[in-house]
Amino acid sequence: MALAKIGYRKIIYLSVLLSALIPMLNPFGLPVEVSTQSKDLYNYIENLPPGANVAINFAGSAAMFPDSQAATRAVLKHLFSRPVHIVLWHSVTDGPLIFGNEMKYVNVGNKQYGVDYVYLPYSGGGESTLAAIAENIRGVYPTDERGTMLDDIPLMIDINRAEDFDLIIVLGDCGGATEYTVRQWTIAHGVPEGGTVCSITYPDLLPFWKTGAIVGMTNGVRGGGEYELLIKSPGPGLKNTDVLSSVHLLYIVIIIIGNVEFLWKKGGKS
Amino acid sequence: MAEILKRKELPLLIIWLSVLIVFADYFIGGSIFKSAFQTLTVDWTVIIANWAVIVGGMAIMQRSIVLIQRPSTATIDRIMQGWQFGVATLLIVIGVFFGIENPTYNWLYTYILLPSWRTVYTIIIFFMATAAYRAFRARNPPSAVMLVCGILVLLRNAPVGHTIWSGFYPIGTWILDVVNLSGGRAIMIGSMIGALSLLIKILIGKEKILGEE
Repeated sequence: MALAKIGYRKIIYLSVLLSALIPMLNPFGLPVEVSTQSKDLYNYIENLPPGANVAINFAGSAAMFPDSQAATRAVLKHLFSRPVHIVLWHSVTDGPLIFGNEMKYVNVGNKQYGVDYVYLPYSGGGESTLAAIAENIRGVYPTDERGTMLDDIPLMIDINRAEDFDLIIVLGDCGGATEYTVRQWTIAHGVPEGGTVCSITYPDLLPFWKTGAIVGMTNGVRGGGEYELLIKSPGPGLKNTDVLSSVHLLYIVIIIIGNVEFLWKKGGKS
Repeated sequence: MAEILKRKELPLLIIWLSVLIVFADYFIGGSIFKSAFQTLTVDWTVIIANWAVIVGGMAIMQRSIVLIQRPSTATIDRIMQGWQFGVATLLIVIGVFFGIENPTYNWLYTYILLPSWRTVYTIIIFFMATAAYRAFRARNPPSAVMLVCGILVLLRNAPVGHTIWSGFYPIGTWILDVVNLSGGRAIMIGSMIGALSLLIKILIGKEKILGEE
């Protein structure tokens, strides 16, 4: 119709840009409904007994990370505020740098490195490496990120396999990590799993949540906003949900215009 | 020796052994299978996977050099490949000799690589919008159902949907948790059965495998 004649691409691109920019500069503050999956993850972490061991598989890679960034940061804030022990490793090459940037926003409080939390380096291999970590952590990581032998780290003395953990959380996953953690840790070793995942992987993981293999998870930017509400620490997630709203509304308008044009043409032909 | 390596029996034998060890650990258990499984996963796989990362990096750099040296390569392509090669070399040299905590490495990553990757990914929203305009159309009843479901899930995901009408959230959640879930399960089970049948085809030599001419 008219859109096609004046170059619909230009109009659509400009509309998308404006619909993202306006709420970014001037957030509307629309209310966010917290989903059951986010609430489940929050409750599970909240109810972990003091001294529980939590494994974190950090799977956030640069390109897709913005989608799950807010949720990842909120979950890290929540975990570091709880009296639990954290062992974190990286399953993507750029994980250590992204994680380092995220930790600038997380208050570790009185937690001490080596006593309450430990960071392990990156190791390639995806699912196979995760299976190996579940069997024998020292076989994959003889030392931590700083080069200290795991046997010399107080927290790691009694930790060497999946069964030593009460929960595993996959952070920033956008393709496979959460699913293969279910296969290699939850099914094989009975360790419950939680995660902050991108919106594109979220629907694929719902069957695992329904069966209880995944105890809870967050859904992209929206999940970040929800988790920020749950931990009462508003941040980029809640701000970005307004962008999500306006861009989604624009998409719906575009789809409706496209269909009206299609039906119009179809009616004309018949 | 080279002839033996070219034959398909050798990779097939390695596949058979690996599959037997992994399956035996899952279904039979026992200390022998457990230690064989650990050797296979903990030692071999991790070493191979980490070497693969290094080999992958070297292959990309080698390709850049070949393209730069090739006389038929256009000047602009030569400049692009040279730039890519230069940045990769710089990052490797700084990362290997000074560590990833080095401020220069951190700066290059945070202010050049990170925004570039994110920009490439973000550009997709523009293409998605034009694709939604051109392709997301109710051409027949099934596509009309998909269109309505898509819009409802969009309104469920965006907080504005709940503000417009509180019913969008439960309806969208129902589509995700019931309709999507049942379809997702079917796809998941189907793909796993497909993977198993592929494995059987490989094991009985009916599928083309690595090393086969």
